Amino acid sequence: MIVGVVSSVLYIIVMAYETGAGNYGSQISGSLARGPWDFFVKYIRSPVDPDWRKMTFLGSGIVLAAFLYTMRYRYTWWPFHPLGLAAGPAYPVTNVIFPIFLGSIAKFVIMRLGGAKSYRAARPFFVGLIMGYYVGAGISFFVDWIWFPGNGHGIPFSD
Amino acid sequence: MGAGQLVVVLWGLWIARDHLGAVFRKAVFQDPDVDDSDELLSYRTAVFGLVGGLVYLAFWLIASGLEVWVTLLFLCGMMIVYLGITRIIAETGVITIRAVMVPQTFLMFTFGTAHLSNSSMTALAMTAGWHGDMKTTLMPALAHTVKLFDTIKGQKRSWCGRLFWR
Repeated sequence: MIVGVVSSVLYIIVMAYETGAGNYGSQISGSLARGPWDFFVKYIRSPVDPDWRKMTFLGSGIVLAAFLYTMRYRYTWWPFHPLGLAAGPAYPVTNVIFPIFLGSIAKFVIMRLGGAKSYRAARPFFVGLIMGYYVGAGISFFVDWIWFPGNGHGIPFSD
Repeated sequence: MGAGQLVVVLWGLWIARDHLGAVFRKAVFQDPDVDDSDELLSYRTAVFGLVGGLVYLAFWLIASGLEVWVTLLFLCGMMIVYLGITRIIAETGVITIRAVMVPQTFLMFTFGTAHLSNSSMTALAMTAGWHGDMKTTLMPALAHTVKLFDTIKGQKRSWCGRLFWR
């Protein structure tokens, strides 16, 4: 880890001097890098008072999350986990919510039809699906490297 | 931070209060009834490392122009974000998760930017470089590492240094 951190930091600095940091693009020197500064400058120039609408929304969320925790701890039959509320609106869950839903349905059906024994037997298949994604992404990396040098393709959920 | 993540962290701290109290007693008073021999770090190292890190960060933020009260609230929000992300990743199995709300925006819209000095706003803008788009942090990886270390028998602390070399 130390080697990785030191070499990454040094490489970024060296690259900045050799090719110009302004050429890095959005992640380091483009819109994503300027975004926070533009955002803060906007609110320094035009200050705002406390936002009661946002605070009410936050307070409502706190009450709802506390309710979900209370129900989960008091009643074993309660099906909704409070982590769903915490993770649901956040990336990357927002992008993969349907696969998560499919996984939950598959688990529910397997448990109902075959019980824990079937669940354990089915696990290698689902691990294989995940590994298949990584193998496919890995192969595409080499395909891009060989046949599309410097002009590769984005890999979904790779960031 | 987000309401859900906020409650996840505060609820977790409340549930863990007995353990956290024991950790504090061992770290500060060397309570002989608390055994930390099977942990990756001694409780003393963990507690004083955390406190030292937070104090260093606080001085750094204040030196960069953040007001003291904003600094204290920012550090609380920062820890909630780190702990919330770690808890969600560890418990749900997602590979990463983005903080729904970060302390900067929480402070700005809870207290109003009209009540934050320009110096604080500028210092908050600088924190966006290391605590802005909170998505990939070290704490979840270390939480998984500690879980893996549970499978190791015997003296674990000799392995601790290797975390930073692998």
